[in-house]
Amino acid sequence: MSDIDPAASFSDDELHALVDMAFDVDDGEVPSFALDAESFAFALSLRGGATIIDLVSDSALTNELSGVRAGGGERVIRWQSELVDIELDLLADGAAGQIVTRDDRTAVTRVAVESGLADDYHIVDLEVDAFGFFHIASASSPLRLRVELGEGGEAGRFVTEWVWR
Amino acid sequence: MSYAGNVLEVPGSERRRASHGASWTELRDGAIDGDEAAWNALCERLRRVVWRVVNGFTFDRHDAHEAYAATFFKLAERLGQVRDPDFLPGWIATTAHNESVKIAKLRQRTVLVADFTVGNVATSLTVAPGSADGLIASQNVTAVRAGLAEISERCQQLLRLVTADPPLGYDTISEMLDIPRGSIGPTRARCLDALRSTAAIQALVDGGDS
Repeated sequence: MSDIDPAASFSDDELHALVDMAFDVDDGEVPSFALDAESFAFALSLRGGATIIDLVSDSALTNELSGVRAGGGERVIRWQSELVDIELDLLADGAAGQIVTRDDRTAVTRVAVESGLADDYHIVDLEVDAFGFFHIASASSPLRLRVELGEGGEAGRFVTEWVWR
Repeated sequence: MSYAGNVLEVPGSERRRASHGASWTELRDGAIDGDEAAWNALCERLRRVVWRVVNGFTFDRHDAHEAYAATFFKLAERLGQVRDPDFLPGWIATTAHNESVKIAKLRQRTVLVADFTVGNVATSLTVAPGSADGLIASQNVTAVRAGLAEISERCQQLLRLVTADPPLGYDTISEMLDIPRGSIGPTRARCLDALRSTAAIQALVDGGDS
């Protein structure tokens, strides 16, 4: 403990309040471009009524070495549900991935990628081959995948978490 | 010497006052039902704590924006899964911390608390014109900012979180800083003591006494 006499200085409560003000001053106002993200997040949450698919692994967060895969990806992310497995391989420019259903009778009917924020936002349907492979030519950050199973998504609609790169 | 009663406007104070009213549950349920006003009120209440957590990292403007946006994207995605809305401040603070750590890792940066820089407080602190109390409060905050720069980063981190508004529970702070829950109170007291002992605060106190 210090030799400072609190009675001759600030009390704990006073100092606590001043510290709060000091941090507020130092942090400044939340900038308007960040506030826009709040509205945008809400608008997007209302679209599609999809289930967020569980993240299984993200090489960027598990210290896996990058570039060790045959595909040469910089970052590999995997999601999984009871119906489908998704792998996304982020490349220096664009991305590639594969979607595999766990039940052969369930068809992947739509895969789309959403990317960008606010004015930059767009959603693009992807072509998926017979083995479930797809390619994203270029995608701004953040991005996420939307997947529909069955006609009109009747067997399930999934969306990944947003991926920031 | 007291700051009590001083007219002092700091960033976010207007928003704090504006969002009082509905309960966390009402706002959560409204937002889930697509009520944009409920969502906006929820964001108003939570944005300062998110901004405070994000600013505890050494981020540039772009990364701070990403961490902030990622936090609110996650809130929009997971709102329906938050079991007890009263814990939303703690939930979003933890989420902001995790998203910030994730971005820091992606950038392969060491996760450090932001340097506490002491700039010209007059540019961001509005003192009521002609108010002597306001001037004293401004001097106090300036001294505290200088004092914070003198204490350890760990203390800065802890004080940053224990003074957040809405308040964060000790469980949340314990998880974010990886320190035992029971040591938060005593550590806070030691950190305030350290701050009180800094040259900046001592100079203020000595000046006020002379």
